[in-house]
Amino acid sequence: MNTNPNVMNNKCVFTVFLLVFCCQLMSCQTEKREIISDVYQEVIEEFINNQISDLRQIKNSPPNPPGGEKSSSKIDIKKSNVLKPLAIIINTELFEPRLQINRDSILPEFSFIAKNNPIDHDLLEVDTLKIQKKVGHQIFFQKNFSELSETEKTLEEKAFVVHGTLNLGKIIFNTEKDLAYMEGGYRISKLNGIGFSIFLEKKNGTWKIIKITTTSVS
Amino acid sequence: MKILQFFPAFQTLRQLLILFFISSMISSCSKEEFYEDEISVIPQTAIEAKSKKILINDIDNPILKQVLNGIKTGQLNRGYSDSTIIEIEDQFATYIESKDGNYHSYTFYVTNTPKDEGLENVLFSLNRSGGYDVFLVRYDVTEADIDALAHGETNTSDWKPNYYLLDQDLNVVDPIAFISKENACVHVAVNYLCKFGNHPGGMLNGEPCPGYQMVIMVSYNDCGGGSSSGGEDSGGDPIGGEDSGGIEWDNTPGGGGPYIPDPEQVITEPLVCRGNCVENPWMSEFETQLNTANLLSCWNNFDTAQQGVVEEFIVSDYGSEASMDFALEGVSAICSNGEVDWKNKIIKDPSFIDTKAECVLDELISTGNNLFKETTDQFTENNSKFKLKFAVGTTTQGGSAQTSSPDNNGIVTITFNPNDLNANSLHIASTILHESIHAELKRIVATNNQGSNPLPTAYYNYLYQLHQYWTDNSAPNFVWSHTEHNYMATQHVIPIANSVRQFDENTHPLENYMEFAWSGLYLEGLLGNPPVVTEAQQTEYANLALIPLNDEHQSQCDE
Repeated sequence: MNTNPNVMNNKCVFTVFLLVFCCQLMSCQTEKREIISDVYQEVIEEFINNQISDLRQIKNSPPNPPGGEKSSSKIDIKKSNVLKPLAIIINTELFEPRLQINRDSILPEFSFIAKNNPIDHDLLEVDTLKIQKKVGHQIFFQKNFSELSETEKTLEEKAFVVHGTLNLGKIIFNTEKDLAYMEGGYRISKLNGIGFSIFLEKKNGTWKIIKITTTSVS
Repeated sequence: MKILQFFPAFQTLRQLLILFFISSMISSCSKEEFYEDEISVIPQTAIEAKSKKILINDIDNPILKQVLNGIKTGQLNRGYSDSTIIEIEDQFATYIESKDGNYHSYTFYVTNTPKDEGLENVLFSLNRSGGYDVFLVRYDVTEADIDALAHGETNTSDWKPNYYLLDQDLNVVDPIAFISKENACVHVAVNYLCKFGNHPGGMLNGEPCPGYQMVIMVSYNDCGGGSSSGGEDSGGDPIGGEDSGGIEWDNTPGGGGPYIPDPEQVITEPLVCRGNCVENPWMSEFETQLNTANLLSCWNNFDTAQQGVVEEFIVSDYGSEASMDFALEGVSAICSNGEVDWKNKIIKDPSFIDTKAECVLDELISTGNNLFKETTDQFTENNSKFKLKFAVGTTTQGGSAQTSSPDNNGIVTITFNPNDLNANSLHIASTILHESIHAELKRIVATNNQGSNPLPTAYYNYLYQLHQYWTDNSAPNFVWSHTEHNYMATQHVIPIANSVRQFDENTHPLENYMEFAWSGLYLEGLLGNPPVVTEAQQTEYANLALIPLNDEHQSQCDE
């Protein structure tokens, strides 16, 4: 064992350095994670609570085409497959934003979305249990839809059993970290869904969606 | 230093401080870490206005036409130069309209500006009273600059226009108002024949109509400054026989110099004509747009035949905004190794080229597939401002394909998920048909059911009723998705099944293709009363589809 005081000093210095470095890094990561998590939390909750059509609430059938008369026997929507357990699949492999937004739909303060790059991160950092408790639906987080098991794939393609799939993209923040933009989509089958752009603002420490624009239909 | 050597603890402290500083620098939550580098910036236009070239015959404005006729039968003289009567190219103009539609202007090219005296245009600018202020607009630029503009090779944003006001009361239909004496301090005189002769009532200002050629030549000097090359009458005119200057409405301090209009109220852009402008006034404008989009050098590498196809495309639609936008997107696609079907007005993004989806699309087009042709015909007619673009890439909802809303250029993009392109071509064909119908429904709604083949009124009303229904029964962002899928479930299932069957060369009965048609539509089908499809049928169709999927008959795209 080297007892030279100089060497001891150096070791001590190195250890302190490492400690300081790690603390700084962790604090930074925590801050970043919290911000990201808060944004996704808001988006997921908003979608499940307010954006997704809960077809159980439908009381009447859609109008019939010209010449078609409504049947006297009403369909009981509540018994149809539409009402299989309401559950959501959410991807965790976040896609890059396409930025194919109609320029007219961009709020002026969000011009940063053309300048800043999205943040690279993992959706698993979101507190999924917290969301699940809040919204009361079953949520499956999947890394990549192409990696779904065959059974899950069938469920997804057939729709209704799993209510739908929420697909989320990476977030772009402004420099002040009080505005955020992301893209996403929700589908109930391979050819039935929408794509959207979401604009968020942080007010009083809480992220709130201020605008959602539908950008595509499938 | 010596102290530090004697006290190792001081050294350690110093090292600690340095290390702390360095570690803080390395590990702090820097902006760079969080926000990374900047990427491209969307260019913003300073003035919210759009311009296009128009032929004079397309101008639907009686006041302007009358004024133009006046100019043609009479003449405009330069007031600032000894020379010549101004001649304008009156067969075409640049029409500029503000985004809110409240303002527009027409800019004409002056054909006989003396060499090395810059570029001249005549501008008709809508004024607040609903008439037009007319200006001679001069740009002090070189012949080389003008040539470059003619070929779309120059940015004119720093070209400073000098405005010479002709008259501010052109809202009076009679073009004689051009020469109202009250507005005498102008820099261009009008040489005009009183077409009414010496009739009772005379001129608008109460003076008798002279009945012969009348010239007003106004001195520059009389406006309080500047040099004058006019200053004298050039023809025996009872009104303008002397300088009538001195009336200051030149708004520059101290007077003199060109009148400078409020740039917020007057919008023009330099216009030049070289070669066959009258036959095709739009190519120079198109080249300007190419230059703005950084596509000009690529365009210049097109061979004559390639450029001819694009030019023909633009000319065939009289340089409409839609044709320009599509041509620009088309050139952009070609420059990025994409392709354009100019005849069918379909853009193929480079990501789409050589994919199975492209193969299926080509087959649908080449075989004249009924539904696809019927659907996409609406996009190919000249009047439609919407065009189709096919691409492969991320679908934001993760589905097999998606159809965008029209972008700023009216392009509706259908994007295929690369993960689903290994599917059987029957699936891909039905996906193309499904998405094309979405695109068509978007066009129908956006155009208020206009086009060569609009929906019958009853069906358009049905679409509207569905929209009302889903407005009441779904979240706002899902209204159109449900509306369109609902409409397709009741109206398009059999046509899609027929088209997929046609694509499969009618190998099997229609029932074997129903599953492809119902793809994405089952939910809305099940919700009908009575249901348009039942769960039992859903299972049956899925089984029946296995027959064409597994038989030996294959599309060339599956080989």
